[in-house]
Amino acid sequence: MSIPLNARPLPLPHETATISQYRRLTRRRIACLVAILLLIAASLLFDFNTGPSGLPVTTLLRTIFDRASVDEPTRVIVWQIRMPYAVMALLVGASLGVSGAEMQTVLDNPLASPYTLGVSAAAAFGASLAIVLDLAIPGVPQGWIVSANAFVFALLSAAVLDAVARWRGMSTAGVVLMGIALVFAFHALVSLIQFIASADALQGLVFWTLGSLARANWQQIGVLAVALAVSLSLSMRNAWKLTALRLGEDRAASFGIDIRRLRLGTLLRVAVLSALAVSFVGTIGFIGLIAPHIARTLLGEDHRFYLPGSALLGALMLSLASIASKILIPGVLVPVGIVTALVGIPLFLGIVLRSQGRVS
Amino acid sequence: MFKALAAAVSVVAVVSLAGLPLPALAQTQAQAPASTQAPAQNAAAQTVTDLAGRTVRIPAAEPHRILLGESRLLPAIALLEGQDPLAHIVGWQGDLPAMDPQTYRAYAQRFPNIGQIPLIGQSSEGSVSPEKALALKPDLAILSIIGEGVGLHNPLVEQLEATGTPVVFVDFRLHPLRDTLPSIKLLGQVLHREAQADAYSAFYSAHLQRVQSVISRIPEAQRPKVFIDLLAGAWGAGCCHTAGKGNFGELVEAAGGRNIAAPLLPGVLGDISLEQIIAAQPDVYVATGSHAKSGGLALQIGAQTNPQDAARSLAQLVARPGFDTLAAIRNGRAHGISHNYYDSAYNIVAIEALAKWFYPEQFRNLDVNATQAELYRRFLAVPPTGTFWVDKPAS
Amino acid sequence: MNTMTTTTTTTTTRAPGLSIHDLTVRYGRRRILDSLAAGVLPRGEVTALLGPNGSGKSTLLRTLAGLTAASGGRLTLDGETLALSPSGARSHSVVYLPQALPAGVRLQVLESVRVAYCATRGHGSGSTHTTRDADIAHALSVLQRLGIGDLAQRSLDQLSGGQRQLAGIAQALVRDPQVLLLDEPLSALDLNHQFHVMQMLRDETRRRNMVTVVVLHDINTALRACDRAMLLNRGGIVGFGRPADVVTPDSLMDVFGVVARIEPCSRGTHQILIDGLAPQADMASR
Repeated sequence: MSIPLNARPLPLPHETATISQYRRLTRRRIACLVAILLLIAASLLFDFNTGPSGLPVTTLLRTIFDRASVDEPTRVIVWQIRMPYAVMALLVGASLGVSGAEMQTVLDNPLASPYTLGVSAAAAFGASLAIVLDLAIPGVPQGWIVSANAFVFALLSAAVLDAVARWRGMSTAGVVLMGIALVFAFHALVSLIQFIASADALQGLVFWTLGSLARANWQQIGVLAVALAVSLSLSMRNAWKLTALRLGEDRAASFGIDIRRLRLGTLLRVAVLSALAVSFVGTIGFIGLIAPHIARTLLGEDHRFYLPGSALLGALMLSLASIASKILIPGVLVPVGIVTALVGIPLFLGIVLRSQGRVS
Repeated sequence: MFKALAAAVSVVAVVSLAGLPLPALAQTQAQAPASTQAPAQNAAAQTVTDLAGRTVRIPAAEPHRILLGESRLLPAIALLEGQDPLAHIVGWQGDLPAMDPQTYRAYAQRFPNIGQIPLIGQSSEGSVSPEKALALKPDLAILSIIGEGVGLHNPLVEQLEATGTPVVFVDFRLHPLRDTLPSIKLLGQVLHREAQADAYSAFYSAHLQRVQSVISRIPEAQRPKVFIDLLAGAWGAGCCHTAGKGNFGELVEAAGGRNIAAPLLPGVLGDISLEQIIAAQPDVYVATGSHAKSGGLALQIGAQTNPQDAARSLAQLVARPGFDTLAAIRNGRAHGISHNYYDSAYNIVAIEALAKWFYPEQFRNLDVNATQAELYRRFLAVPPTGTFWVDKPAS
Repeated sequence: MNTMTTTTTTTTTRAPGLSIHDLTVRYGRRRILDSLAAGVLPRGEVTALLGPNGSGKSTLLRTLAGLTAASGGRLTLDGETLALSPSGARSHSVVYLPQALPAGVRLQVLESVRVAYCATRGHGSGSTHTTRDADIAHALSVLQRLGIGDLAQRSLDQLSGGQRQLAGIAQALVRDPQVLLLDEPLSALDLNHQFHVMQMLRDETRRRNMVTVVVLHDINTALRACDRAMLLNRGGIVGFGRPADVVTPDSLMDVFGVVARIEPCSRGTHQILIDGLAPQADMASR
């Protein structure tokens, strides 16, 4: 007979040392998360405080607490520009961070990102249909047409990917390749649409695909916040299973984990979150790729820490990028997608070189 | 236990952040849209319809803080503002110095403080900082429907309206022929320069009428086939970028030419191979140029270019390999023109120049130089320097 | 037609242990396993799964694990039918350790064992009201028993192959399985760890009264360390019983095409020595 758990005696002294070491590790990880949270708060305030209009902090505070005492342009700057951009940076960064972490686990590939499924390229295609050809989903209010199209196509590409993967019984490597194929396909389609676009539609489309927080508004923030909250709680429910997946698919399966269902649920969550993010702010790269790597280095791969850590780091990174985009070149607002690429590329190379190609 | 903590933290953080918009939403919903809210001191405000079909309320008082969505709107504003076109401009996009530096320098020579006008962005819509624009507290915003500045679907439009700033759209680019005069009229209304606007409209119409009355009598089949080489030479030795229906194509049509690219391109702009041009055998070849660096293969042209350089650069362009197979070039019907006419209130000058090239006999007496001189003399504060079109390449 | 050597133990399906009944596994049109039937793989004993490449060893193991679907037949454990897919309660009875161990995983050994335990909680065996400390202590005790307790705080990606294998076994054992399946656990290990791992497997198999099935390449290890051997060839069972009965010069010639002899050693154990390949004529007729 196997030894029942309840009959276990109290831990021996040297075991207690290990247990307390483990507890210390847990405490350290929680402290790390709290530290990142504090950094996010600081970044948020800094982001909120930065901008070309040179509004002093006192004016900013007055605008929040005593609305009538400032003039209209200042109110608009604070409530329609500074605040929504800063908050959106956090939400999009968190969405991309946690999505990237889940993608890298589920696809067992450290180069995976939320865009690996072709989500961003498909979203751009959906947007191009709305902007250039006026093909929209009936019944959607005017201001949401482009975002709705982008979102639908992003989900569609994830669905196609999943269907093909299941039909052919594809391995995760096959899924990644298929995703890359979809990316190229959608990029080509977007180029085709650009080719036949009229001049103003073309400009609108180019403006849309550029990753930029400058289209953020409060309704979008509400939608993304809800989606992020729901998705994150679902992810945390699966935290043990995702960690087990890191031990190997076969082993995890023999633990009784329904791998296909886990993977499908995860890809669905990732698709929804990243589709929303892309449809609201365009393509902002590298966050979903880099944040998980840093989270893994700081917190290990226990997904109970790794997932929220990746979300928080993503939020912090994008918030810092938002600040950088405002102060990098004085007087010029550099699109945030360019900043993340400029910073992300050396960071990424650093990761690759440090691990000396030992990533699995 | 930790799972709960993490979930709680993230939910609280996210929900509290999401809770922030409620006061803001309440605020903006209570805010009446600018177009129905008139400032107290304006008794006789008027309502105009802009080139995007929007109905906008304009205060009776003259605007003193004008925001331009593109600084390339300056030449159009200058037509109506007379001697001091920069006086009331409080901020603009940085596209004029970037994309038409010769014109910018021409204005800078006359108005040295042009460099002090604050920029809201560089030369693409993505670089516009809405915060900067709002911080300038304009009392009127004049934007182009499309261009390299604040466009029709930019969120800044709503933000400006929310602060009570009237926003009007003009267009000299999307449909130049159709929209130039209405745009001038609209500018006259919003700037309270109706008299100047009427004067320019009369000038424009008279010259356009003169061209079109001749052309309308010429049947389609006898109209010359024209190829427009946009920003010729800018693509290296390769060939060629051109306009189909719209952009320069519309000007060519207005001048009575048959644009060979019109039936070929699905969109406004596109590339056509030399082979295709040769197959189409155009009667007239027109190259356009803009702010080319000297020494490169491109058409030198603009407010600070002398005629010899322009003619020489055109000669280099038509000497590109394969171009001598074009009858147009062998017959001496190769010309050059400033690219910026595709988005300009002065496009009537371009139409005249083109018409004269297309129909040298019929327009024997048309003096395009005189038209330009009259335009500058009557309406502008800067002198007509430079070369804007080239009749023939240097031999 | 499968030939089976007679065994001295009872072959009734009611005996404690794992029984295979007419198992067929297809891949497309090919039959990898063809109506495989074996008597009881008894509890408390380590059964070696032997055979050349392509004989179906890994497929059989994966089918026992429920990871590969069988197109016919069934499995019973102690007389009760085992579900064919590894969900729910079954996952607490049967644990499978694949050959490949993932690299670059930043989990500590202790964490990985805990994950194995907590991944599917509340399904059947294992109490749901344990505190976290009890979890950790339980995980730690498994590690200690395998002799790698001092590696508890080390990250998996810093372990040697042998240590990782032991960690993998710890992950399996923490789930208190009834059946333990290992696919070539010794392939990447040095001599020391090969011995240690087999020792651990034997000890734990006895202590927990598990059915342990191990795919092995090294026949001598099977002879020395395992209680039973099952020899497969081309999707069928060629021999099942005590290793010394199953692994004979004849069976080695038939299945592997080698000329071998079995020599007793000074301490009474037996060693297989390969003298050469079978003559070509025999090879062609195989």
